[in-house]
Amino acid sequence: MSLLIQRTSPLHSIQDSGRFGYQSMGATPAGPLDVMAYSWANQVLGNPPGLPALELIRGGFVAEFTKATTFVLTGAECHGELSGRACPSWITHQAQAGDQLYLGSPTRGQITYLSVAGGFQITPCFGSVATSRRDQMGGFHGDASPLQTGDRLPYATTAPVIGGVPRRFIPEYTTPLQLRLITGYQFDTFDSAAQDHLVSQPFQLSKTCNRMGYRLEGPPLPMVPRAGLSEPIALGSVQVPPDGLPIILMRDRQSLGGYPKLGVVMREDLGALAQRSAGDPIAWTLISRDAAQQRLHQLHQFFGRIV
Amino acid sequence: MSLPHPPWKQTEWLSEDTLLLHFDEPLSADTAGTIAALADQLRSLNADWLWDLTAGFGKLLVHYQPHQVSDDLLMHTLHKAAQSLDAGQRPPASQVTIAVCYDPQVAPDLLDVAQRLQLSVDAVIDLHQSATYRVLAVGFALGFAYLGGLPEQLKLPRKTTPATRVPAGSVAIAETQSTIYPIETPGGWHVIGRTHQPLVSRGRALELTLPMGTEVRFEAISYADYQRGIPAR
Repeated sequence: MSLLIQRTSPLHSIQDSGRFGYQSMGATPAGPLDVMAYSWANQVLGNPPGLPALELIRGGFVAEFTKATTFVLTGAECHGELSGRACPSWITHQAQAGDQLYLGSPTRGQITYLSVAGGFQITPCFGSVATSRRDQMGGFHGDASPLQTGDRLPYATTAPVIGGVPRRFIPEYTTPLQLRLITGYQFDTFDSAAQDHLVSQPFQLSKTCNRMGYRLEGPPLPMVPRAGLSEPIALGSVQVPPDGLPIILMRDRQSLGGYPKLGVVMREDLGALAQRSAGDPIAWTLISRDAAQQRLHQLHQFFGRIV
Repeated sequence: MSLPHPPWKQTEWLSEDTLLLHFDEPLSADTAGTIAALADQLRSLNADWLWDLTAGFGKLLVHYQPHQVSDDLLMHTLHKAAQSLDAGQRPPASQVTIAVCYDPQVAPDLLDVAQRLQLSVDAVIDLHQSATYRVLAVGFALGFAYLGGLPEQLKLPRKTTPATRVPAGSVAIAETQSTIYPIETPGGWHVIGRTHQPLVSRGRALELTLPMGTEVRFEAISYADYQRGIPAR
């Protein structure tokens, strides 16, 4: 009656849309790094938005369905196979009891979401199953401990579902990424040379990226204001430590931070960033808050909820 | 106490679904109290669209659902919540006393702090206990409270090289603040004591011992009492 985990890694975790209401206590909301791919997974299965899914960073996952179900993989392609048959991402598949799902290394993108019709049935921890390693909350065991071989993630019996993501909405993850920045926080205290530098110079994604933050490399900003008092950090905030290289703060960020910040990356672009590999080119452009909010409205209308 | 209207000095639409309120005097206990009370008032509305709040040092970040509430209605609600703070009796800040062992066996930086401040160890301990602190922000880690009100004589910059391992319960000082480490973590504050006082309760609800706005005092206990596991009264 469950998905029996046969091979996993510490980069794999259970996520839902996140744990909210506790940031004033210093907790991190956690949730999916790529909210677009995660939302598509629930959408094509006909699930309500926000149901638990497996977030599989860099593939390398094997599991057995012990009961028939419909499932979908979204995000990175990982040579998916279901009992030896090709099992591409972005469309639903029917698994029979005893079928084995195999995911190798990603060929495009970095993160795959695995969701089943009806969602995995996992006991929430303070309102969410999202795995927060920082706060030792959520996940299959409730304390954010890593998934292990032999874990059985339960799911309900549902009628088969047939669905898929229209081709035009399937991202490439290989095209050069331009992050759209809503300027804010201390943006005006960076001098015009630093502001121009951001939107004109080439950056690359660093190797040191994790669920807390994605770090960029490249020519450092020529001027960085001094750190100030710690202040609340919104999802996607771009902080610049004294080395002049921006860090985009992601789902497991700390709730407060004092490095100067340029603003916030628009929500839709955070997932695209998370799907890039070390060394991939990253450019910047500015977007108005109104335009970014319009886009979030569209996503809300389509997916039901995006956070 | 009557607050200026509105109590914040500036609002900033930060991202698609966040609004940042800026308040004057980020290091003042009154500002922390106002923000804590406003946050409580907003939470008590139980509004579907209010997703989360992050507060600290004169700022309050409102996380909301823009498809459920317009920016205008959000602003109106904030103003109304601020007005009701004025009209109603604001409850006094909750007060917590923390039992601290200042014995050098659990206070690795105490001698160094005394030397650098040119004070006796006893003077450092007395000064640390003499103050009434106020939680100005909670963050960095779950339950990590920044306590404003450290006596001026104890002011020291953070360590240039953070310690790789600061045990949970470490009572520490840096700049104009004191804190207690809720979990073991690397850290750059000077550790002058240790407490058994738990800071996060993970029962049916998640609760903090020292939420924003709390008044805090420290009270010395002996190493023997600390070893017997004496918590705060």
